Amino acid sequence: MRAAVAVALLLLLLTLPVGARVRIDITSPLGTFPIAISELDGPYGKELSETITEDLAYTGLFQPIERAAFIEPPHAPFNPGNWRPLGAEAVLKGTVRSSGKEMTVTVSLYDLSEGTAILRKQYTADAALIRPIAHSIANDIHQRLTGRRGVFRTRIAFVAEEDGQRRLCLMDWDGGRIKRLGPAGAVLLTPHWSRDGMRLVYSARRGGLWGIHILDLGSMKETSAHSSKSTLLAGDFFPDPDAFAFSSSEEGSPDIYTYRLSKGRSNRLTSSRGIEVSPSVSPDGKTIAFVSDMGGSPQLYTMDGDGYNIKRITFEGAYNTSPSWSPKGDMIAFVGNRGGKNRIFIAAPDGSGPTVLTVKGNNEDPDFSPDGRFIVFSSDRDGEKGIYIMRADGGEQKRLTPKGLKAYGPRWSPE
Amino acid sequence: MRTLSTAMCILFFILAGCAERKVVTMPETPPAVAEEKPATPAPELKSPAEEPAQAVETEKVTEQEGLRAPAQEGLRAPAQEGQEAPAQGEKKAEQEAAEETLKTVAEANSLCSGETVRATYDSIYFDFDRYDIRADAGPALKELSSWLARNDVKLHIEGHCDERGTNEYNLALGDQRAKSVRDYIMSMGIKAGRLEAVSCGEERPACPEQTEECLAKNRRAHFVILKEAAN
Repeated sequence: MRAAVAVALLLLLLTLPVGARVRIDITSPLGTFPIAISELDGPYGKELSETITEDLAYTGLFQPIERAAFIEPPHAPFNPGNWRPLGAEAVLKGTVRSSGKEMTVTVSLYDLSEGTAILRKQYTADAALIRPIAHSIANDIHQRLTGRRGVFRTRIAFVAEEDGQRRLCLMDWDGGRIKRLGPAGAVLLTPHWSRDGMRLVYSARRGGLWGIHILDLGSMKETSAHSSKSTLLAGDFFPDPDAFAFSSSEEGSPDIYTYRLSKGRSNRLTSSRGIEVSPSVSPDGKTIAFVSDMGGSPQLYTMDGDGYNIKRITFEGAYNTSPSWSPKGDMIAFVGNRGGKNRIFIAAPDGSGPTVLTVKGNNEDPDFSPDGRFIVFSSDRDGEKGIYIMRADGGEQKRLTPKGLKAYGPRWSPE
Repeated sequence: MRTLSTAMCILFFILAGCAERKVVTMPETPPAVAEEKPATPAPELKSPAEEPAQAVETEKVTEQEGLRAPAQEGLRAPAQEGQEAPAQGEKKAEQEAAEETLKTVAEANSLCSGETVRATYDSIYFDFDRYDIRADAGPALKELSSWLARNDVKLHIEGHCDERGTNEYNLALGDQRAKSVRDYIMSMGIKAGRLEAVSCGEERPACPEQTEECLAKNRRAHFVILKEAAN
């Protein structure tokens, strides 16, 4: 009996982050949490504070207080009396010192209900990494106040077109620091992350040959897993970074296969005369969502990881494609064509409760953030295709990539 | 029983200790935890408003794991309104080394480019989201097949789609269109080895506008007569 109580107590305590009191319940927030982000005192202080503020504000969980109302200057010591009149419940203050190439940022997060610091932390980094420092600070604030880490240090991989060539690119979650990643191709499609964030798998057509390629993000080397004259389209990795799903028309019509890198071998899962394409692997690796026209129009289906137990899950509309699982496996985002426009939808994995999230333009390639709170997608709403994000309820849709850069096929990195 | 519960408690302390890492010891640590944790004595507080002499947590901020090797320089993204300039400051030498490994693959590709080596036959057209051969395409395909029977050439069949669909699905659809045409011509007695079916998806529209007339022109199989067949 005593042992049972001890086990119960142990389990209960382990589910709570030790030493933290959650101030914002992320699952059902009671309004937004008013927070004051003071300008950090020192070089780049304004930029750091602005990035932290933008990160927190976008989540919809925080209500950053307008800086114009602040009483206490950045260099003055923290005095709770200067912040309570503004309605703040927490205040971030800090300093920035830079010596040579390195900068040191020290911050304190104060809880105004108790007047004490609930986070004191020092960050050191190369001065070029101002934005990553700001994102790390925002992550720690998010962690302290919600009990869960923010996604502010995650990245988005996508495809951009430059001079008629398509390239893999990577940017921060907020669209900052866009970088080219890999070799180009005449056609290059959506990259898919391995669950450990160390590899991307994608397909490209080069010199008349389709290839499925793996980019190792540690060595930045690309290796070719599979090539064919037939169309090869890479899909998601399984939880095991050795295996991914893809579609191939090598044996006739496009069908779904899995591929094991260590064995260099593929295994066919579907074999209809029609189209089976765009496999998306559930977080537990047990279910594959995909697109098939076996019912006369492209619709979403799910099947077990071995190709059995095929079920149709979309029944509304004549065109549903591009499934992508939420990280908890409780939702699938997809593209549905309604009224001649491609729109982003979410639905439960059995297809129930489909909800449309976009209205403007044609929207494609939805993918959830690793915390499931946001969705990245591509849209032509402002002309040429670009990358956008929104909250998973469709709120706060905003463009990430600069105008004039044609970009699509975004996929959010794991944490 | 007693040993088991003691073991559980010990396990709990170990796990709790691990989970906490070097986190700041906070004055408002829940009593349940603070009391049961002999390893970390509760900080002595003089007054609630006065901060305890805390061990400040530190973090060395670096590029994410797996991304330490510098990627190539920021895109020459035109006019990044309001956005920060693409990352600079990555070490030049490392960058050049990275570029060395990321050499652009030379593109010797005439597929889907609209180029023809000798001549081309008129395209045939498809209904939206369909890949079955329409009745009105029959005569053209029969004529093409009989021409192929008389001329020893290789034929590339490109399957194209209008841009209303999604990228990936259109590549599969283009594939099926090209293969429908290939199968049709094969059934007219032309050998498979002389026919190559490729998908161009929605990449190469024949007509750029968004009108229905234009979209219909883009749902097509395009023919490229490649070279004398090697047999």
